[in-house]
Amino acid sequence: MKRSLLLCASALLAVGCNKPMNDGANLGGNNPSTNVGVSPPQSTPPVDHPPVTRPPTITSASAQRVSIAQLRGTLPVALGNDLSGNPVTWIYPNGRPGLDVVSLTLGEPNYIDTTEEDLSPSPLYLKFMDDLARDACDRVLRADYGRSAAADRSLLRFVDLADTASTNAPGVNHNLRYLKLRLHGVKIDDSDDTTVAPLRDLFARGVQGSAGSAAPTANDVKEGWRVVCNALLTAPEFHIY
Amino acid sequence: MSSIQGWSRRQFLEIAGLASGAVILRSGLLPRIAEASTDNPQLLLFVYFSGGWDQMLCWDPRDISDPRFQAQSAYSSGGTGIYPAYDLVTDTVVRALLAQQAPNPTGLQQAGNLTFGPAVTPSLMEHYSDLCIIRGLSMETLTHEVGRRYFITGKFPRGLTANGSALTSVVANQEGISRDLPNLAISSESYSDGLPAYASPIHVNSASDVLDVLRPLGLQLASASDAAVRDFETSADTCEQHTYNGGGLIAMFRDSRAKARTMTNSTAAQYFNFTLNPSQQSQDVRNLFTAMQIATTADLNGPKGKGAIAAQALCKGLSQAVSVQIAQNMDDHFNWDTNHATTLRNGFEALGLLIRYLKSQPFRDTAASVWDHTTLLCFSEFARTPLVNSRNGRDHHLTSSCLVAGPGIRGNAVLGGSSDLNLAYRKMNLSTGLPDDNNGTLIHPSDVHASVLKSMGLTYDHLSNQSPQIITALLK
Repeated sequence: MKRSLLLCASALLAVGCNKPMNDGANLGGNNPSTNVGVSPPQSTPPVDHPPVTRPPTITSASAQRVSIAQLRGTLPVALGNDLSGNPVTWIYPNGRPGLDVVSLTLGEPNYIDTTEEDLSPSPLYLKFMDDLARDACDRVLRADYGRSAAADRSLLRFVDLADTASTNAPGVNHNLRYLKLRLHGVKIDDSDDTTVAPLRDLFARGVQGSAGSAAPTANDVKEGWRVVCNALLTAPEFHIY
Repeated sequence: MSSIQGWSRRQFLEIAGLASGAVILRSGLLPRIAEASTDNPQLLLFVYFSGGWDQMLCWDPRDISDPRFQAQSAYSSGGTGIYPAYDLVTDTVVRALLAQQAPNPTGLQQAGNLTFGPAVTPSLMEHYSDLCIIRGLSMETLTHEVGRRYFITGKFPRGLTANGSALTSVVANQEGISRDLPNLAISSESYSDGLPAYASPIHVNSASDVLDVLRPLGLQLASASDAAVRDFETSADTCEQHTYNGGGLIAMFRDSRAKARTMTNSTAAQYFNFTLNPSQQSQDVRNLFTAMQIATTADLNGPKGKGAIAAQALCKGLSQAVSVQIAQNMDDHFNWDTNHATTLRNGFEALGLLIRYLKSQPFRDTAASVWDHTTLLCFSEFARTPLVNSRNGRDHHLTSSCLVAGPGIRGNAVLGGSSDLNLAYRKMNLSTGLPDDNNGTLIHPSDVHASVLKSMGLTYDHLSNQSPQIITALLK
């Protein structure tokens, strides 16, 4: 039974293939190349297609500064939550979110008086970003230093809180690569310790600057990470994309 | 770092960034080299009255005792279409002036060769020998944003978008980088297009905003930590920065960051510690408040307070150019009779006191005053209709006026004019400054900008696509 069905199907198929598909309006007899729906075998585009440049010219989007709105959204993602569960952001001395306080000063559009934002990295913008970095880094580090489990921390995921570049160089390097990825979106190969060398030196200098001639304590190590955090948050890579 | 046929990867990325056409600003990115004119530095005070002023109350008045400008004639067919209506104004000072001029009040105030309307204050008129009124200015728009941005930059906006740099930014750029706050914008729009970072406007709304700009906020880094961060910033040189710098953006970022660090100057911050508590006032602030007649919170938050910020910025050598919105809410389509003259008068009072203060302050350690080095340009986005509407208001009007003054500007002069029919603009003879309907030139903001810059000894090349005409009658 199955064999006979197969034979019937094959026969039908053979008949179908011999019939022109546009039987009702046979434009070219039985010539397969004129059948509707068959693409020409050559690479010629359709007659109404504009010329194709091969290879195509790809232009990238222009580099630009983040907007205040983007920054407002970025900080909690980049820095996580504090110990109370609140997103870490810049808090102005008056207790309000800093980006809200300086919003108009920095030209964030209110769509009443202004509809466009000047995205140039002006001195005023950079001045407030300095203030932002100092405050936000302090908040995120206070939170991290209140969490014993590394996996729960925002910045210090791959080091212990008292690790220095001397006592745990691999961990410090790993953490610096992690910070470059988290804060700058730059992926550094796991085996590449050279690219993070400037940051490692900066971290060591921060620890040393705090400890002086004494053996570094956890607070001194925290100062090292504070320095690194400030440098990363005030770097162009954080503000330009 | 890997190499590609002798190029370093960093160089390759930098060139690739250039080839990708990464352009982030609307015009040339490479900062023009500023030529600091240290021999005779010029300051600019750019004053804005927001909303569209009734020029008949100030710069282009009409005699209300003249029957042509009284209601019956003004509104009649074939009439002048000009009704100053000073007698409808409820402002007490204006009414007192008209009472003094009884029985046939004109509403006009004369100072030297200048004729002012009734809303101009004695504190401003006392400077008549320095002031030049330009009448018959064609604003070509009745839209607030367009008129404002047109006058700020001297170029007609693209839609609502400002076109080019503000006059204050142009001056700050040409005068160099010797100031902490080269270009200060007090409650005022300002723009910088393609100019170096130091010429960018710094926007503030109050003295406390200036304080926040001039000093670090919140937690400070330990000195060793701060030094470490700054050294790192100076030496940091990553592939990403090279990629993003295809349009000069990183270079601008670094320049701005450096400038931001110099701005946080605690010495300068003291000049803006504006408090009404006498025991907490510095002698300098006390003197300033006395000169600007600031005694209440309303004074501090109003035109006089704004003027005081401008005064400190100019007199303490912090700013090369200051733009200040000294009056606002003047768009009186309704209740012009109760609001407009008072708002104007408060702004003029503050401006007059500011000029008086600038005249009293020495410029650096010279015998000259700060005013001797200051050029003033005072404007509104357009004027108001010469007829009062059915809501006791005045609507928008194309023909406006502006006020200029400066060491390179001829004072005690009126240039141009408006017609006695509908207060329409009249062309001006650029050499004489007299109205010339046949052979004169229609005056636009670009002409005023170019003339002002020329008076300051600065270039106006950025206005070349506007084909500006120099009002030579304006120049000393």
